[in-house]
Amino acid sequence: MPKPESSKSDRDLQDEVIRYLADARARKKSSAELPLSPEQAQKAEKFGRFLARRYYRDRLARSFRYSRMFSSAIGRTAEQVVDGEFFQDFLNECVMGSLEAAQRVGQMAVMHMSNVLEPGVWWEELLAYEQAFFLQAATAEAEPRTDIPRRGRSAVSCAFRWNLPEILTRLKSAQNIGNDLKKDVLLLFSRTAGGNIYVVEMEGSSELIWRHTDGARNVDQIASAVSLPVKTVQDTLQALSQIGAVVLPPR
Amino acid sequence: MPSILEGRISIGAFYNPHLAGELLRAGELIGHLAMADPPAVDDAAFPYIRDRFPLLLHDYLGQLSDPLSPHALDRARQLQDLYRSPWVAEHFQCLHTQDHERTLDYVFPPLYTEEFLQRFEANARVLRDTVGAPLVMENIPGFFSLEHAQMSEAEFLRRFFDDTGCGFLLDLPHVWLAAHYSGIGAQEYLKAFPLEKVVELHVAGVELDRDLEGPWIAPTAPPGDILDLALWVAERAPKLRAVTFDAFSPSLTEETVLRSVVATRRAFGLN
Repeated sequence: MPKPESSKSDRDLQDEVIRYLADARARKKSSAELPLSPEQAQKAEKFGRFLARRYYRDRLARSFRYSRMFSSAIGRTAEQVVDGEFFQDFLNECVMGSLEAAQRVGQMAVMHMSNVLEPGVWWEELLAYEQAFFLQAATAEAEPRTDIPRRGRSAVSCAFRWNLPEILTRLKSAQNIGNDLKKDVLLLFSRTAGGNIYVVEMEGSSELIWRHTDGARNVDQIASAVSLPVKTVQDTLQALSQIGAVVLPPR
Repeated sequence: MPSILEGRISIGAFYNPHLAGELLRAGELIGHLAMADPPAVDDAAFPYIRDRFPLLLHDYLGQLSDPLSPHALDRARQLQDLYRSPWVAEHFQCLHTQDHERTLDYVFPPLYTEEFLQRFEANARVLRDTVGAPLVMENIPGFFSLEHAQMSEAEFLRRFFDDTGCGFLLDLPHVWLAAHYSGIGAQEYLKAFPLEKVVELHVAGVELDRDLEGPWIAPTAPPGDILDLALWVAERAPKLRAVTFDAFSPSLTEETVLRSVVATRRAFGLN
């Protein structure tokens, strides 16, 4: 087949195809910019929906794996939402891998899993943990460059009234969960550009610095706001950037 | 470490950590294991797996349509140090944008053009030199086509393998699907493929998908059609060393893995 005259590289064209497949709203507009016949555009629409459903099913299964242990007792799993009616509407609008889409699907999953006979009083918190984990697993957008320290796109801190890390350990080893695990913990969920997901407990100065890294303050202003030495703030931000929790300006 | 014997076709599967005990108890049935992910830090069974089976590096090392980052190359080298794989596998795919803003997170072929051929060849050589082992490349099916290709998939693959000297990992469900959606038979579709370069075959099942309204790859046992196709290819692939049941998923059962390996061994007259 002859190649159409164009200044665009083939690699750039491939990027346009990838964006088209990942973005349901782009597919709704028009395929006129792409060398796609109407018949092939219909097939591309099917493939885009297939990719999104597959992606969220996979990420839900990976992220809601502890609540899945109770699937036979409660008759539900989080990934069932991708086969539900609401998901059809979502597939018509979603940008696969975007933070917004991850937030919507995470909420759908928690709603689906909440309306059950709870296996324990900690159930709601377990779902909140898995929802925050899912946000990391299902957000694939690159971080834009920044001139000022800011939080990673999907990074989120959650306060729990139960010791979630210990609860997960006990669930894995099929041990009972008693009131001895009632403890306030603040967990930070983040992901790196390479896709590694971190869940770390925050306390003290790191929590203060994280809270004040709002994308409006520079390092000196954060140090001033939290009354800590600039060096301490720099070191903490560096550590947080290594786990994808904050994005720093390029050196 | 164990290795795949010369002059014999090894029948194996992917390493599914939740089935580690079952894989270790399978005796001589499973000849090798392909590694789709690095072992988890808390995977207590992996040292036994590594002592027991030849391992094939089949991770996502990066998309060879673009240069791999130093980090990706370093990771590939470390994985190869861990597995000592007789060959390292990657895919003919291009699934994320150059700015990493969007990804399809799933198999998606490149445009079959001169530009992409050059890109894949250059980046494959770098990866092969980095890991210090032969590189095999796996074919990826398309579900729709763009009016932009400059050559067929078969020509793209043949020229790539001729130019680089890399081996061919022929995924048969992928070929079956590509042929199905092209409206021709799989053997007909394969006629122009460089089967003499095939080092490894993938077998698995296909199932109807609701969105595609047609068949797609499934982590199920390979049906007779796929196994017949495997034999047909094997008769034309003098360099074939391994056939792998291509399925890895936390929901995969011991029964499916073992049944698939037994069926594949039987098809190759190895039971």
